[in-house]
Amino acid sequence: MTDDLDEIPRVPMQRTHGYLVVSLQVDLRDAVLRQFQSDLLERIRSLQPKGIILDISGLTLFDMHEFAILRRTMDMARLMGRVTVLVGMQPGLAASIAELDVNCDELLTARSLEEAFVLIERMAS
Amino acid sequence: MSTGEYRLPIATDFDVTRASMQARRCGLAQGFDTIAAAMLVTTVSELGTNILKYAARGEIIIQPIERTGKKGLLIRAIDQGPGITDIELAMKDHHSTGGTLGLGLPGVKRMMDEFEIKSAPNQGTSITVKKWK
Amino acid sequence: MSDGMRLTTRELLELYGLDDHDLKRVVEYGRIVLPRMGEYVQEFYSWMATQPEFELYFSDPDRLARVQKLQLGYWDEFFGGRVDDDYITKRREVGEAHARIGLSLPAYFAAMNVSLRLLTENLYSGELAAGDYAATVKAISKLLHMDTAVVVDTFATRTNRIIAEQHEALLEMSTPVTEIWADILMLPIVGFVDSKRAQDIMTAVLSKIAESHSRFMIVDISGVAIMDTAVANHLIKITKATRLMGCICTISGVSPAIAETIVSLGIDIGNIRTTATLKDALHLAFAETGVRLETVK
Repeated sequence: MTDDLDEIPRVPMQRTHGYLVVSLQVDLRDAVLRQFQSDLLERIRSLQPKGIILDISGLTLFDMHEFAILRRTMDMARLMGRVTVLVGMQPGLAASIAELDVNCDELLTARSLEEAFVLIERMAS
Repeated sequence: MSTGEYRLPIATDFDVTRASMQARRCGLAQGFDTIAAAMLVTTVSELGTNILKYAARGEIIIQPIERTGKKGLLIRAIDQGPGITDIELAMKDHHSTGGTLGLGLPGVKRMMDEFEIKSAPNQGTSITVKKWK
Repeated sequence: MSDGMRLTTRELLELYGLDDHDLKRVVEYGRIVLPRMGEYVQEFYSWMATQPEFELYFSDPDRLARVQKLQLGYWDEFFGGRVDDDYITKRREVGEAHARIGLSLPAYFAAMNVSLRLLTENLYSGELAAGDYAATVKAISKLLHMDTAVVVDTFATRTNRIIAEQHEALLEMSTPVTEIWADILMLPIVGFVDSKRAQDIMTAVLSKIAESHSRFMIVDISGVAIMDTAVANHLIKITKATRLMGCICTISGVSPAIAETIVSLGIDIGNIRTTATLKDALHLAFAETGVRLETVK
């Protein structure tokens, strides 16, 4: 059997207490992010989660382009009535995003999953 | 040349800091309060940073002035850099959070009482500001 | 003055009005005095012995011998009349060496002045026609002044470098991010914030947040000496980054002067939380962490 070069790694997602917890641990190539985008929106439709938690604690590298795609995905989820919370951003990543000329005011962040749950509850109510 | 005039060469970050602190000392000596002195510091810092950024080197002149019994301070930033093509544009506010904020010139103008800019492409730039007590 | 502002050899020669005729006269005069340098050395060092500044040379015979050799080498080059980049570089090295051992500029000037007199008066015994002599002395003076200027410039450069290094050292003073309460970090920023220091602050703050998992970060800027768009930008970025890590960041110590400056500069701080005092920021954090302070009677 040969490896299928067109195979795009899927981002693992799981439903916990009504939330959709996404673990973005792999290296985020463009194609991975786009696949993730359609997967996520589809899950929102089918699972109707209270909110989305993006665990990015395993990510250490990110460029402006990848960040922009992720931001757009979050905007789309928002249009579908779901808030997204970023959890566990690493210092290096935070520093490089801060250098970018993007508005982060609207971005929801938390240090842990528990905190993210609380944040989503507060946003929902 | 009047007494008490300072001519400070600007070629490094450190030069800008030194010039800024000189503006503070001169401002306080002229009787400005600490808020006004902070404005003078900021003005020199902005003008000095612009020199470094656009012309690499230049000069800042700080001069105590007096007019009809009123004391003040003159600050002049001179460079032989590429000059400003569109002065009107450079004087417009740029609004962006955490981004590049243009030349900071509109801010300098707001903080000072008089503002004069002379610049043309390849002719360098000379900005003179005055603050009165 | 930075190294980049230094004049080239050609510019120096022009500045001091030294042309080929002058250098030729210097070389011709060299033929007269170079054989008599033994006399120069004797007289120069008897003058030096009367100067307290030069005591350090006489305390060490080896050093004295070395300096004498260097000095004779200098006059050989001086009267060689070849003023090129190598020549100027050597003068700079001499300046560097003098500055390093702490020889003062006035002492250096005095020594050059004595040398000029010895060479053009004491060692001269009427070999040239009066007109030629005057022109020669003028040429020698020009070259000597140029050499002196190069050495002085080296002194000044060195002094400025030391000042800049001290400034650097001050900036590098630690950025003490401290956990002042459970879940609350605090960093006072004192002095100047340039882009390098902003970078250091960013690193210190973010790694401390990662390590302590604190919920609150308070950056106190009451000690910031210069506030301008660049500094404000650095602070905005630091705040942005702490928030991305899930931390709630407050900038405290916004004095009236800082408030007025930031608004005048037209800086949009977005929804960054700011307070006038550190106390206010602490109260906010306490309220949000559910800490209630009571005075024990």
